[in-house]
Amino acid sequence: MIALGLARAQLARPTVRAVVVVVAMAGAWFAWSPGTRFGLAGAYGGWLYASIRLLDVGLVPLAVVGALCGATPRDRRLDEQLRAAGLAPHQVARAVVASGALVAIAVAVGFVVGAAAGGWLRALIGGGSWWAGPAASAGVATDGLHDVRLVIAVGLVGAIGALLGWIVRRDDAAVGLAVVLGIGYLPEASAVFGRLPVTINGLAFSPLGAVRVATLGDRGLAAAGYTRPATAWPFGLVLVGWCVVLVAFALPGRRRARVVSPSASRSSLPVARIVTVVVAVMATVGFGWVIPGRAADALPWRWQRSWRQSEQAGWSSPRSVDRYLQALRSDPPGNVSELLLTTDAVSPAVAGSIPRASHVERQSVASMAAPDHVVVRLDFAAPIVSGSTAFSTYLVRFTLQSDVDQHWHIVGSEGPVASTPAAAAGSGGS
Amino acid sequence: MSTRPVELDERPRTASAVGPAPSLVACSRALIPVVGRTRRWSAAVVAAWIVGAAAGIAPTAFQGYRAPGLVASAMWGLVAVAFLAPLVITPIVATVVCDDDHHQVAYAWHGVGVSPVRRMLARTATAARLSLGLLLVGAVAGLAAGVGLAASGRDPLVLGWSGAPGVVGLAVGAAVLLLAWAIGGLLAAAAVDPARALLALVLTWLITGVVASLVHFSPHLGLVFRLTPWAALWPFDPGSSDSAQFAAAIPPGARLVGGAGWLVILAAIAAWRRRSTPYPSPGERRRRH
Repeated sequence: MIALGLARAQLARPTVRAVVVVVAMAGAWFAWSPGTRFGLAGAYGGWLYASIRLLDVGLVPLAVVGALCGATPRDRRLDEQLRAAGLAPHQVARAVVASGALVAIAVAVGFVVGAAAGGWLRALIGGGSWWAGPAASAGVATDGLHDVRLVIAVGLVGAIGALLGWIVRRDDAAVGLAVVLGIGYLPEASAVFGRLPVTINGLAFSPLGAVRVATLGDRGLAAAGYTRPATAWPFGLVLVGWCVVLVAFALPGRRRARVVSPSASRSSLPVARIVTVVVAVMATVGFGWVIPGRAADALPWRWQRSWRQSEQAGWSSPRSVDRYLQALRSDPPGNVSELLLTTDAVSPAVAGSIPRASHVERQSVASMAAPDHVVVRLDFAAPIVSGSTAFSTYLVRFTLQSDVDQHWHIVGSEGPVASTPAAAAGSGGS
Repeated sequence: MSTRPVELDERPRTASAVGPAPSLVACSRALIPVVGRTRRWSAAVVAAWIVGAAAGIAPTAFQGYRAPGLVASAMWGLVAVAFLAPLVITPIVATVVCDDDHHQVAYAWHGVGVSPVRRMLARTATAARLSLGLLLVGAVAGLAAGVGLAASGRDPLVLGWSGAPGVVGLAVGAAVLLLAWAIGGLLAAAAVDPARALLALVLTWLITGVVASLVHFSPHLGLVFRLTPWAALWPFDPGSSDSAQFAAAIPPGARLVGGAGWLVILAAIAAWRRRSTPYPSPGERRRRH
């Protein structure tokens, strides 16, 4: 009953209500997925599609409201009043943690409502069932199990947030800590952490990361392309370990008053600070010693040192293709022998069409999937008639290979292939 | 009986305030010991250290460049803290400025003739001044990480500026830092309560990210994304990020207009909030009239 009262008091706060509104809007946004082909129409379809977002974008608000539930009673001395009213200290702590779980579940209900509204919106705009499409559900049992796991996970996130809030005692510090713990699973964080795979594994062992992996069986990041299937139970054990640690810190009466003379505290403080600084500097030097080599080797090709050397020397694959195009299109044609690994690397059809094109455009580096293939778009002022069709845009794909000096040479070519507008847009001009 | 807060500015000042009110500089100077003692700085120092250390090795570890010189590593640490000021420094400025209202000691300033605007400006200036130390922390961390990188023997040791951030980078870093201070001060004036200020900050990050997550799949949402609060400082550019989903090319003009628009909105909310209630109560009780 006390937990329920505390939870109701939290839900009456304008701040928490604002969080509920934002979470509901986020649910609607993800379920609606405006303008995309993704998503499921209908109220239940919207929830089925967006529910997983509760454990990435939703982690931060859920942990924050949990943290507020844990910290506010201590920040405003409510815990002391409850103890004065006759409650045992551990009962107060238990009620506060339970209120965190309850409020998190209430916030999640806001997300459910938002997701349902998003699904309806999708049905309204794109058509389809108002409840769920025929193939949306995997069956009542499977869906029910998924929902129960999500509710338990949401409650756990709220409880962990409340434990953290209870430990740090202050509203703002609790919010800050909850954000730090959850921020790694924001989808946009994938743009940073995805660069360094080791951080993905590290995040899975954080308190909220363990909740996510144990619930979803995925230790990857939130953005598309970072799914990492994983066995759930080991991370369940990690989660239990975190809970034990947090409960141990939160247990009342753990801190004992230490009697320290003022002179002793004054003399020990600088020493402690000096030791902390020295340890931090040593750890950072070690970090600088070990991490760069390992991190650099795991980077995508665009960030590899060999690629940088090629770019700096003017011999990266797109630069080689640029020079090849420029040489063929100049009058008189330039010498391309040093750009080709073999004299027959480029087919006569490709070599012949490049000078005749009215405009050539090489794909941007950002749109290249790998360094060894470069696509070039050829535009012709007069459409070329082939049979009963006429095309004015063609695509050519060059294959390249680097030598020991990281100089890229053309080793083959494909095309020209007539391009549809969609394919032409996909080639991404530089 | 009305519980509406009394407009203290309309009250006669106490005897202690007779005479000229303390200047902004004097207020700011007087606040240094108080603001500097808050334990939030410990968390900010740790954050700045981590950011600086990562930035000191970033050119080699994450960008594929040769190891920068030691001075350059320190500069990268410093600039990285400035770049990430909206994440590291804005929260601390906002919470520090909220403290007077939160602890309900804002009235005391009235007693010595300091208006709410001047008090909050002084607190913002003090927090900003102290946050400059975080840049130094980032620089030291960058230097330490650079020493480690040099000791690994991956590249020849260089002492100087080789590989340091350019003038444009330094200018952008300085601009972002100024913006972070301004946002922190205005946010505090609008939010009153430290936790609420932090939460407002986090929610704006979430909203920006949530909208950004769909732009790749639906390019028509690009305009909506540009209207989100942090689009002006969106760091993932196609030239520097390989994230297909989040890399977005936003022209500098659009960034400028969007950022200025949000700053004006924030300033208007802060002005309205303080004009209606110069000494707001930080509690979340609903008012009864």
